[in-house]
Amino acid sequence: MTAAPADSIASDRPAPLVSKVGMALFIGTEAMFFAGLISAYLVFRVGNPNWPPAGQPRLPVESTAFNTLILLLSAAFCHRAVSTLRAGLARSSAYWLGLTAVFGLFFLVLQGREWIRLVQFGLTLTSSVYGGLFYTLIGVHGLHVLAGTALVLYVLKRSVEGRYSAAYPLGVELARMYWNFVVALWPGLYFLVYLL
Amino acid sequence: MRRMALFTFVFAVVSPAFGCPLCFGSTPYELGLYWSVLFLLPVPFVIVGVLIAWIRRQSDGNIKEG
Repeated sequence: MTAAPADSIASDRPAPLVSKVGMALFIGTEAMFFAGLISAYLVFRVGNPNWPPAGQPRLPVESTAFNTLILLLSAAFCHRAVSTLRAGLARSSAYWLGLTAVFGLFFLVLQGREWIRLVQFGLTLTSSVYGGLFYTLIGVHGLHVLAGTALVLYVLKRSVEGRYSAAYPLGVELARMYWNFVVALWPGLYFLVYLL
Repeated sequence: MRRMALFTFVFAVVSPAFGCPLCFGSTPYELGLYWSVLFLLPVPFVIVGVLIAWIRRQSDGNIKEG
């Protein structure tokens, strides 16, 4: 049995630009989806002079600010994973990818902890429009962070298997594109939901 | 100068369209709708604009590398 020629392996790989455009279009649809949710939030937020409504708990602004920092750091780690891979340091790239996933999971754990406390204080999905909007908007973003973390972990597994290199960093670059979108969205949501 | 005149003309003429009873009222609900519509209006243009700029940048990079 002979090994497949390098050319045939290379031709099996998806074209980088086509894959990136596909991911960019997907991110565009995701951005539109979030724009719709934010728009709905604005209708109720601006439409209610008393916000949050009486009897509803205040959101944890400080701990979520810390969580925002965690997410921003994870984006920096993801960026580092791509730059080290492009420099030919595949092992170092895998390390930074792992750190990205850990920080993503850490963000989700902290969010979950805050949510448990909010539910205990009486803020549920059905307690008011405030609760419904909060859990929908922040929950959908949380699901995206979860999906992004799963993607980063999948890319990490493939990276450890040696599937990416300086000449072919496509998978890691695609994961970074998605992760950057998820991270870039969060400060806007934080300002809108927690600070405004 | 022509652009300035066109700009002024467009904004002078569209004022009857401000008659939309729902979006230009003064109650909080109407204000909410107003800001929501204002936010949503430019979003598709921003997304498509960013996409086009990004694709152009990527293809320029590919041409330079190739």
